[in-house]
Amino acid sequence: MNEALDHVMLRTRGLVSGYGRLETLHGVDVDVPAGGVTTIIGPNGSGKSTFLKTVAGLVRTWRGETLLAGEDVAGEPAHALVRRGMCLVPQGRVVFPLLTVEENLRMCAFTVSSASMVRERIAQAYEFLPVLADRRRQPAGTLSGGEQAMLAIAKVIMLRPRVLLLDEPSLGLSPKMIDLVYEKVRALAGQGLTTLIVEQNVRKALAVAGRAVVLVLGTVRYAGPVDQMKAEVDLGRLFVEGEG
Amino acid sequence: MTAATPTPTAAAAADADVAAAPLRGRGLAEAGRPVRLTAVAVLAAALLLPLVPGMPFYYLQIGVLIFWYATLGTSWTVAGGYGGMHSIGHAAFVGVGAYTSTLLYVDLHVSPWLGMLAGMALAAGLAVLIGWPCFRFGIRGDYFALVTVALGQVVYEIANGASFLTGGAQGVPLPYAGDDPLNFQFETRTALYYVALVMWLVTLVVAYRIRRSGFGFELIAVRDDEIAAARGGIDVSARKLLAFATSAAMAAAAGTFYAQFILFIDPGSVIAITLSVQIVLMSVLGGMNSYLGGTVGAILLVPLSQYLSTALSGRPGIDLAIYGVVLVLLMLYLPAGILGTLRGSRRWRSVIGW
Amino acid sequence: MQLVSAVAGGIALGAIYALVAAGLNLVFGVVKIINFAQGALLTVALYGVYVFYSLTGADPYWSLPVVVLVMGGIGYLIHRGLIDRVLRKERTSQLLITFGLGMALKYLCLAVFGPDHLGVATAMADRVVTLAGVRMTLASVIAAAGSALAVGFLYVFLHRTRIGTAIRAVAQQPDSAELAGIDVRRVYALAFAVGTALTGVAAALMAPIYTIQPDVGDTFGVMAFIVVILGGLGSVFGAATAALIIGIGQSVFATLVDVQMSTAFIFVLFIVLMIARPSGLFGRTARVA
Repeated sequence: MNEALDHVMLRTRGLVSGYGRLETLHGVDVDVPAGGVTTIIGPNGSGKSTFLKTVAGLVRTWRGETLLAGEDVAGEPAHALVRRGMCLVPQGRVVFPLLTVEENLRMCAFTVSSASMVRERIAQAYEFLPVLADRRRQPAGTLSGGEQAMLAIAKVIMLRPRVLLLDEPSLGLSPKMIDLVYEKVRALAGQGLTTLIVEQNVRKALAVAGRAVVLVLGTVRYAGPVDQMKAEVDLGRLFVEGEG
Repeated sequence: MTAATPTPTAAAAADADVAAAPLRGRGLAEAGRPVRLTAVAVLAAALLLPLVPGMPFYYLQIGVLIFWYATLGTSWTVAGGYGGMHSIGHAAFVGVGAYTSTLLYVDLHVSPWLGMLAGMALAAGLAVLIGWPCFRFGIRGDYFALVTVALGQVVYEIANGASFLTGGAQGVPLPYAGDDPLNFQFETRTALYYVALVMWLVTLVVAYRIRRSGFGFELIAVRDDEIAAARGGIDVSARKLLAFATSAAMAAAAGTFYAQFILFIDPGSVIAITLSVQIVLMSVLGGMNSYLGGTVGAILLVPLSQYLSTALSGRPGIDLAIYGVVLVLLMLYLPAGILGTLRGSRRWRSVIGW
Repeated sequence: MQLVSAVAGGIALGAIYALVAAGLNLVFGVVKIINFAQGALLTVALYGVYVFYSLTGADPYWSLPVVVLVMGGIGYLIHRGLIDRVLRKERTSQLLITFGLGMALKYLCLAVFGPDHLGVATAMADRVVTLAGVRMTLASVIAAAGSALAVGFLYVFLHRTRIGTAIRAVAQQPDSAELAGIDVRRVYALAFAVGTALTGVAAALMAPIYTIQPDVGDTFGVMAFIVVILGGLGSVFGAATAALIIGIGQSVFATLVDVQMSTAFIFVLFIVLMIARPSGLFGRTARVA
């Protein structure tokens, strides 16, 4: 280990996984430093979402390790990883549509056994995301896309994870809502939350991230500081190449 | 072409190949000498069995039951295996066949041979009546299975309840007419054995021909992916209907045979849901994708069940309980059936028609 | 008058259908499989009541907690041993494994207890009461009220408890539930156990009214499917309404037309409705409410 472990919250080494018999990730090494924002960018279908799902335990790890604060957690089921402090906010419809907003929040804190702590965090969530407070008795499925995105972020307040994995937070949102989501992400990161964002919206992601990983066809092309990347990688060409 | 579709690995490609492959080559004709010799030997043994001097009637009876269940299992394969229509009410068609020919014979003295044809037509008609709206409105999978369960129950309850016509739960005894081949009755049970053998062979050949025909190929395409098949210009409903009706008619013919063999029918023996599950089991145990599946299943299960019900005669039901257990174990450990284990070999695949 | 008591009898019958169907519905809504063994599990539960009754001599109603716990345990084991192992396999496997299980259980009952009709007698409810001018046995009133109560409890459990909410969350979005730290596989097993335990409740309530024999669960099992499908998969109240309609319809048909054909009448009705409205009588979406 050439980097001190206490600086790296999440680290993968040679991660291989996929769906069915189809290998999607071909040995991915990623380091996510503690307390910073890292982003994974890359063309469509490069395995960015698969990487997050594998790390979170939703997709089975075929080979390789996932170290969470130095401990290998590869192969553990997703619900167990949540208890260890892993929090994945998946893309698309993430809420339980027929549960009310407040029931959704309670479910996000399923691993928190103290009722008073849950109540306290619900209050904090409403304070951080006031739009949810007005909707607390409403089934989450009736929320607008932006409100659902806020509800997804509220999970972070409920769970207090060690690592936040965000999958395409800007997907399907209006520019105004995207700004709002990133404002919240920045606020959380400002409190020292280790964050890993997978994003199609490269400009937005690079604006908040200190570190970037470029993933192309299941292989890491670049990993390092964002400002160095801009000098080393021709993003325009990369994406054209990936699409072709 | 986006990067979202990575190259499939060789293994995945091979797997897809197994699932969707049409029957190539000349099928049985290229199966090779050992396979052909075995087939001829099995057939010859089946043909010569009744001629063995001193052959106990009990064994012939088991032979007849094997042919009977093999016929039913094969009929199910055409609908459930080729067409993906998992009917759990096939006994309804057996019952329609048995009751049609029997009532025509007992009440109107129509020869059961004609009655058999009438029963087949009625069963096919019933299959169309149920299948047409189901396939049109996209009812398939579990829901189709549920509809067939209900169908089996309806036919059962009607046979049970309409006693003025069917004799109700008491059943219908058939008069024994002595040697009267025109009326599907024979003096010797050996003759019935040969009738059963022919019935099974005809069913088997029909199932084999269907599998190798363009119709069979389209049917399997429909089973594997209805939407893609429809996009490819296949009339999905029509293919499924034809397969379901054919399967129903085969089962009905077997129903008539049962009535003439036992000379007594009642709802419990020819329409019960237990029979429906047994039919499924024959095909699934052998391998429901192969025309031979029902036969292999019957060869294994009929003797087992006969042995068990004799050995455990004090415990009625234990043989059927074991059928249930076999079905559970199959689904856990061998969902493709016995013949399914051979599907990896190209040569065997053309023999079993996977 | 005849019609009124037919309706009353239909309500009692419908209440039991609703209870058996509630278990089926829970399993379908959460685990997404159709449990064809539900009828046979009801049979097993009824024999459980019988065994309790003949061993202890106590009133069959006292068997309720024991039978419910035993059935819940059996359901848990069935899920862990069988269902969980085929959940990622083809639908065919899931369909046929519960069918095979049902067949094994039913004929095991036949092998152990024989084909005779067995009965349990209740001293507690062995009298006739008059409710709103209709004379009914107290046992059928208890069966109807008890079933309604049990369905109500299930509703409260699903809506007012943390575990119940987790069950609904899993039914709606299993992946999101897993990512919220809910052990989805355990919730599946729990739902299956609760669904099976409900057959235990039904058995204790209906044992004094029906004779017990190996076929007894078949009709109730198939009726439960019909109720669930017509009521809309996953909807507790839709299913309860459908159960009452079917119970009353069957009872009225039996009184006015023909007893023998009343079951066939319901099945025909089901096939017609299933084809006409595949999403159920009351709605389009599958949901757990």
